[in-house]
Amino acid sequence: MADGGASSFIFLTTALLVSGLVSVVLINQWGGMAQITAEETAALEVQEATSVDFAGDPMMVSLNTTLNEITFYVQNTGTTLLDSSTLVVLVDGQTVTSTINATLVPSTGDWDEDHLLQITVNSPGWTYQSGDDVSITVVVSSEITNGYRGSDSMSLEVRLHG
Amino acid sequence: MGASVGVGALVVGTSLLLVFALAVQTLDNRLDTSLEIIDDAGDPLPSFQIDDATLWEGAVLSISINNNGSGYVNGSLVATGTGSGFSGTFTVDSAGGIESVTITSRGNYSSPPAISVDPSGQSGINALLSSDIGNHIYGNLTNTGTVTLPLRQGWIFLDGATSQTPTNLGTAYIPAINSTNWYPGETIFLDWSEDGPSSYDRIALTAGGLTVAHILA
Repeated sequence: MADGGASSFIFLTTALLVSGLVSVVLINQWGGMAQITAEETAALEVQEATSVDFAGDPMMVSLNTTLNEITFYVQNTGTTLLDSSTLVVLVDGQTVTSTINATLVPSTGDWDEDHLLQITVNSPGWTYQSGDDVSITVVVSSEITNGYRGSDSMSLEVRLHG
Repeated sequence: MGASVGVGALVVGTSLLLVFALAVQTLDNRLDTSLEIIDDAGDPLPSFQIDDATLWEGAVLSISINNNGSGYVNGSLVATGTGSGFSGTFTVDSAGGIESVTITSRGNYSSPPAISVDPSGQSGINALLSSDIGNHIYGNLTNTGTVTLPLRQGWIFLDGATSQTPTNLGTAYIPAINSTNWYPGETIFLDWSEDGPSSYDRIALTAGGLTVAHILA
């Protein structure tokens, strides 16, 4: 009887230890999952808040044939600040590799929904003339918000005027 | 023995409850985000139109008082020059000198018209006024959608801003009342002196990712 009691006690203790360990592992795993989900959620929220659109008259986009420059405007249509220093611009599908001049309008403040961004790009190889249609694509990133960057892009066919 | 079993069951039960709570919280967060995204996607887009737009390239934009004169009473102003349509009024100070002028109609002139006091009922002397002309745009813009647009988020482009930077709608349009929004169904009257460097053919308005354009008559 005494042996049976000791066996039961050992069995119970072992069961408690195992169940405790399993519980700790499960709690850790769920904690990790919750953290990952929270991070994904934060990143998704920043992504959804990042939005950009073309601004201005797509029928009259400024072309300077002397400097081979195209100037156009984009507007922050999201709810997070955008980063004007991380722009990627494509003209007719070709990435603009020369300097991209980006200027806020008005010039003070951050690129929020109350500001436009004037973008001037050029390429010596362009032979565009006034009246040509070109495709403009702009990829933007948001400022780092809660540790994450969102991104968005706009693409539009416009007519050059100059 | 019985107590040990009870304690064990308590530990296991509490642990499972914790795991369950964490799982519920995780799923809840996920659901909240999904609902927010669905909600955002369902937000209506803005919709507006330019009903009409007219550019007067020789509108009287300002009147300078070069000499106040004396002996006048409050009265009206007349313009003499190539063009028509100007009207204005003035007020006088205690000496009968012209103190301030108000343009009630800008007219349209090919060169700055000579501005003088309408002589009827006046006995004053020596007032000397001059005018400055430039671009003035009249237009009616209607918010045809269901979204209330802050005026500061609208931008006006003349000829695609090829010769001048865009102008904020909140700057070009000053409401008579203390409002900074453009409400659904509201038509705002653009009465904007844009003393730009040249003439323009087109006006475009961009807000909230939507652009509309109109020929300037």
